Amino acid sequence: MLEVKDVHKKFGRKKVLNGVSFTAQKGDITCLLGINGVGKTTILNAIMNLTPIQKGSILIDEQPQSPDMYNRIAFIPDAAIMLPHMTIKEAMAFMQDYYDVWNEKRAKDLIRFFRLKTSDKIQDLSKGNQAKVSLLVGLALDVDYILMDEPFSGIDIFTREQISEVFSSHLIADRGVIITTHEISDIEHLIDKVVLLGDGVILKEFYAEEMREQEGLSVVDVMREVYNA
Amino acid sequence: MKKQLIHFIRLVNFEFERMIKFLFGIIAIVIVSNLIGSIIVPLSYMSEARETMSLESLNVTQFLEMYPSFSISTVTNSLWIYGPLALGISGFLFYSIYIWYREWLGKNTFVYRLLMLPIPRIFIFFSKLFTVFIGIFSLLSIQYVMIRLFYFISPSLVSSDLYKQVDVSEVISSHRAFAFLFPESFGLFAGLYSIGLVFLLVLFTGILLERSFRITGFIYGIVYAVISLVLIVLPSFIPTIFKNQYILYPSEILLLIIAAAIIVSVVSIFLSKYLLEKKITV
Repeated sequence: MLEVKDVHKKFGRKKVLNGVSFTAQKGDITCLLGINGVGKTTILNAIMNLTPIQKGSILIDEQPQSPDMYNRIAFIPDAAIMLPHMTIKEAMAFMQDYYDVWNEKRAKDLIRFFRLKTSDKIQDLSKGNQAKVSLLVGLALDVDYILMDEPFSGIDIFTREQISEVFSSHLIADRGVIITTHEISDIEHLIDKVVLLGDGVILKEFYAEEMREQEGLSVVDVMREVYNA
Repeated sequence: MKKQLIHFIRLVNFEFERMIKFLFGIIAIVIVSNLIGSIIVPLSYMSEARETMSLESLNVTQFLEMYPSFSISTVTNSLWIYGPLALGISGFLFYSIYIWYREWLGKNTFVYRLLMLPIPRIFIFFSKLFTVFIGIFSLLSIQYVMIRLFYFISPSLVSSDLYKQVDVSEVISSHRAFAFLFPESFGLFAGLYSIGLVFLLVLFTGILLERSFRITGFIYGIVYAVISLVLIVLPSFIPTIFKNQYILYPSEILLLIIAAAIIVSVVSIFLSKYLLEKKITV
């Protein structure tokens, strides 16, 4: 289980996270939702120890953050994070060099799944294909948890569909996923848990299926209710 | 432990590969400029010597009584050698800063990947430090080879009457920059390059302070650099401060400087480790 406990974060004087606590289970897809600037990306960065927090704690399977956690948890940010002049093959070799949990077979499966050419340079790829490379290097790691920041941001509908397929495939099975997205409609039917954020606090936390069955509300319906939209 | 060492070596190799274009560019400039200098300087010396002898009706002996002879030092003291050397030094100073900032700048934020590697983050710090040092020593080695090469090129372009044989150690010791870059004794060599190492450690710590706390961090970085500098140079001023030049032996002052440099280095490494682990932000 991934636990975020009472996390506080300030940028200068601005409080971005003000006591955020939630958990994400292995095998669940947990979606962090909220309007821009509520701290979704900051939470993911904090989990990955990419930005310091002022207060609170983050535990991964009851263990505190450490360099070894990067062999248990992968982050796919909303930006190409391999060097632009690298070919996909070189990017894969780089990952293999450092990660014990790099799964070459899965990487090759992903290359086929996303119809990528390993000889292509990352800088020559479209934004959609660059997003696929980011997914490739993240998903090819045999980790327990995967964090994805806006994986559908700024990419075309066909690529979005292809990325959506990933969530229902064996590539995700049994792993814990935390995702932030605006494009909720693409994956609403796949989400297990929803965490609604507003002004640095959690406004509501619920399981999507329970909400549908017990109250007959979709995730978007709950969002409208919570955000008064 | 072995795995960690392999990861570190891979990271140094990776950083070195990223530096290759810059390093080869600087090396190419040094080689080309040095080669041109080793040809142009003796040719121009000969042309000026002939002209002077003709205008002033001097024979070689009379000329040499009035004007300096040609030696390899004539080549090394020319702009053809000083120019690329200055470019190399300023280039590496720039690269020492760029080696960090490039990870944050541009569309591709590689800092995410670096910080998410399953290795101690201080490895990133040391790999960059090693890379800069490898680059500097590569450049110095090339420069040394070029000085040796001058002995095969320049003398053949100068009349043997006007050529004065000067050995390499004399060429180096009589050159302001070379005397500094290629010290004669190992002790001096170790001392000078240790100062360079401390300078880089402080610079890298300053950069990490800025990357961790942004504008406030920039101020912290400057303050840290000033404190480090004061701490290291302070022992030299002890006789002046106490208005007694016999208060310490020179060897004791040197010992204090070394102790201060070690303290600054250790603090820089631990502070950088702390910043990379706890304070750095993407």
